[in-house]
Amino acid sequence: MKAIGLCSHYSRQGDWAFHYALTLARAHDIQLNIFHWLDSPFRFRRDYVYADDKKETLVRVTDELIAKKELELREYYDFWLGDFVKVGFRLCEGNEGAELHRCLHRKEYDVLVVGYPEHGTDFGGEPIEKFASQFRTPVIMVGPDKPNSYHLNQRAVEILDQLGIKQGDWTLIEA
Amino acid sequence: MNEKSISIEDVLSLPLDPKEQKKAVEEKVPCVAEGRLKVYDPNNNNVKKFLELLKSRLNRSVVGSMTGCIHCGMCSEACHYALARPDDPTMVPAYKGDQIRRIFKKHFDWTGSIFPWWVHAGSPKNDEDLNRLKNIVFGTCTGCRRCTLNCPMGVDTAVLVRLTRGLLTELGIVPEGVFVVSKDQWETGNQMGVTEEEYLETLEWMSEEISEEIGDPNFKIQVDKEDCDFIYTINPREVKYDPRSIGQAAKIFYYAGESWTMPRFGWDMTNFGLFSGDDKLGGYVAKNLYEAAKRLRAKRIVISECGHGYRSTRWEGYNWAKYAQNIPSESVLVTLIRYISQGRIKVDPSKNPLPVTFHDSCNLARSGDLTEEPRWLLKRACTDFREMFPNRADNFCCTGGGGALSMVEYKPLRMEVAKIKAQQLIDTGAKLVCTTCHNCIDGLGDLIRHYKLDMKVVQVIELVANALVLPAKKEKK
Repeated sequence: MKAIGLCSHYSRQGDWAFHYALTLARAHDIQLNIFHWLDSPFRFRRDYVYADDKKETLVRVTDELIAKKELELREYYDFWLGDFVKVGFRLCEGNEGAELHRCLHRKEYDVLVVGYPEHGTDFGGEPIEKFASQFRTPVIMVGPDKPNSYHLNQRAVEILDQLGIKQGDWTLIEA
Repeated sequence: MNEKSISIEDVLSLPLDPKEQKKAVEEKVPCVAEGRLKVYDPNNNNVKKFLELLKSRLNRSVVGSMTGCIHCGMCSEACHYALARPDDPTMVPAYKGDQIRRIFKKHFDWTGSIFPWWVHAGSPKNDEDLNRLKNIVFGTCTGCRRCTLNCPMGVDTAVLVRLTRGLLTELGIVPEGVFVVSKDQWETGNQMGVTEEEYLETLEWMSEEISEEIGDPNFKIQVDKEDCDFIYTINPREVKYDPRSIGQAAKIFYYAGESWTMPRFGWDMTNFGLFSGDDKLGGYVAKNLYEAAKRLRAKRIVISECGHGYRSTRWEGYNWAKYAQNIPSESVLVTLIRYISQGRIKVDPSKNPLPVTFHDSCNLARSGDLTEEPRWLLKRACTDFREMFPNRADNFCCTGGGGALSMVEYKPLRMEVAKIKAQQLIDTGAKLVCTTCHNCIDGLGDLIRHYKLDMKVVQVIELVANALVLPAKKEKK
């Protein structure tokens, strides 16, 4: 394991996923790269995104907006990161699946941690379970009801001994 | 389906937002600094300039549509805006055409000069009037040309709409999204501002995925390879948001034993000039593509699934570019038919068992006459193909309008009138709606989410790739 990727989300499950990813990164002393998507009503086109959590107004993605959102992202996690400095932030636009593949190709992570909001959540145009089970690298989904509930794809099961997850706390993801 | 109608006055009075234009001027973006892309200047005497430009653009087809309308109202039966808002006369195509027609009559037709009150001739008085015209031509018409096919006089309202869009583009009186996309295409050669690095990286990534999938370590998508049978040109959306379609095409070409390549530059076959009415941009983009084919000595240009890309590359581009284009171009659908007919690939329809219907893209069906090819393929690649009614050249627009998604301010109206398309989709009972246009994917996707339909949008290439019968040797690897 060389680097962990985290799909961040400002939600309970997103926070659980972050804490697990941070613990894992600390344990292996490796890089944690936090990816955050600007929320958009469009599945593919993300040049327009919601201005805020109310999801009422759409705004165009501009340099100023990216700077503002990146600051929000850093401030959101700063407190929890404490003295951990091997961390990178990346604000993403576009389809989640495609963008994660691209980051994987760039070797920005080799294990992916994702919050699991609920069964069947849309992720890059397909159910999150389908995405995770078919993804080319180990994926750990955290949630949806409790923080120590982990859902692993087959590739993650193969490196279970490195993931710090207790037997009984995980299940295999089936699409 | 019975949502409250939005106020049309709110749409028609949407102000011009010049933020992005000002930014482009400040940043000295070359296409703006060199005057290829115009920005709004309130001191430009825009009304006078508009009339001069209109005069310079008049030709037989335009004048025919200016003078031919007899206001019979048949176009109202054809337009999804008018059908969705039957009590709103401003949605009737004849009304929309009249907004430019009245200006033509006032200044270029003798009846309007002498009896303006009789033929409802009039002139824009100021920039506010031009802005209102902007909201009509960009916000209340997708240029789908369904009204044209239903007009007994042969009036092409879409020609008038595109003409007016083009005149306003020359004055910088355009929606912000139109300006931004035009700028991107002028500056980068593609309408989503994809950098060369991002493009090449995506092809490399797709090469790795397909290489692993087919079990051939030597497989690679060739870039800028000379003397191939064809160059494959795509929609930048495929690079930026969903590269799977590039991989699917590459996989099919591999099994068909094709000699093909993708150009390093001139790979974007979409053309925002078709949507914005900017012939100069249209010519620039089309020429990039034709020159790429010539430079690489390709025998053909293959166009991936895209409605306005097909129309502009195959039919309109060389006129805008004034380019003696002699390398033939074809839709990838035709390429796929050739492979199956010649036995170069085999498909098993049982691999696509879900009921699938087909949405004809306006630019491919009505403006490109490509109606039977996708059906030929779907009937072979799927077990349960269902027609949508009406279909082919009579089909309703997905509301994407070959670029309308770039104008977020008009989305509420677009979604309201999308109920016509939504009902068409529901009536098929299909689980998949297949289309051959990337813009339609987003247009249909928007309305599927808006109307909460239990349906997924797919493309022909996706279904054909999924139905491929792979040679046993490759499967073992």
